[in-house]
Amino acid sequence: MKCEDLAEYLLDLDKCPDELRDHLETCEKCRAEVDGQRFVYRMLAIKRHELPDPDAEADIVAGVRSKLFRAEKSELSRFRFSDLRWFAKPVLQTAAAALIIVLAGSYFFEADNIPDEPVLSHQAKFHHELDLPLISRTAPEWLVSDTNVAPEQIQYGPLRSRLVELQLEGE
Amino acid sequence: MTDEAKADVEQEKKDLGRAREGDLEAYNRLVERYQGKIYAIAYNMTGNNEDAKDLTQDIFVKAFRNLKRFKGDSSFYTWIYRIAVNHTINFLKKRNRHNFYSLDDVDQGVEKDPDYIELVSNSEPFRNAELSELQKKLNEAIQKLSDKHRAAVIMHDIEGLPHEEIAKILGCSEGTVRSRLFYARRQLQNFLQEYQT
Repeated sequence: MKCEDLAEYLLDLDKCPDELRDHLETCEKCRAEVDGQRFVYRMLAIKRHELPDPDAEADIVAGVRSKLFRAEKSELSRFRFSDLRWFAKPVLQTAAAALIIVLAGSYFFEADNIPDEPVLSHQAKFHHELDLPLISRTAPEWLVSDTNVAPEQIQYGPLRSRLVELQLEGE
Repeated sequence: MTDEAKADVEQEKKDLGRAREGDLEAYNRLVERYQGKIYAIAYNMTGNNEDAKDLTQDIFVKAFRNLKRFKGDSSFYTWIYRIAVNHTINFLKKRNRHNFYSLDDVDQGVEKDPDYIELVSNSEPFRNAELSELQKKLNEAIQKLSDKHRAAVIMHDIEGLPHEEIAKILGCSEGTVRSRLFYARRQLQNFLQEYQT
């Protein structure tokens, strides 16, 4: 037996094998190690005889009951997002897909409707497909006077308006 | 196994089955059966009575909530002991300082313990010291060990668990348990050498 093997043999102190006994007779270092280990084990006898706090038993049983009761109560009353996992996942996926479709659709819809040509101040332009009038910021006199549109009905600004119908006659 | 022991094992199985279904009375019987052991590991690991009581309660609550995960591959005792050790080690990691140690009483039987008698007869410093002083020094020395070394010493040298069981609880090999035990005792010897002749 070698000194390095001591740890393996030492742990069962009462079952000291012959091999270890022979080694200890000749190796002082290992003998001191064995004595040290035995001393600690023996001193721990005090810990082996310690009695728990007399109130511990009752406190523990009562404490476990009350904590389980409280936990159960709060489980019932607590709303947990994790409970919605089965529901939330497909709903969120569908909502995300719908949002993407709506955003993409509105982008292309808007892009189609934006006139390529600039709106001139004296022109009322009509979109080819929607027939919606585009009114310039400053409506010229002739536009107002030559139509049946009252000035207050004309919406000014760069917005397309669906609120007025223009009838252009003559030139 | 005696008839009584067999009946005990059967009762535990029944209680486990019922507790899994949510029967708190059945679970209380399990708590009553193992609370002493779980309290002991928590007390020896923390060195504090109040912490040990709180931890023991939390360990049993945690075990109850995870009972459905207990497959029965090991005994219930090993399983809950593993929860106890891990939970206590986590608690100690969060607790920054060991601010207060408490001392549990020592039973009269210690004076008849062969290991104690051996020390009293061979070590003068040990013989001259008060029991409460020795107890305090022991607690302080144990608290100086790393959590893993402390767990090994408590389970083997205080609670008397075999290496195989400790290895299962700590999730390591028996060789690792032996090594931890050896080095833990060596450190304890250094801390307590004033009582060694």
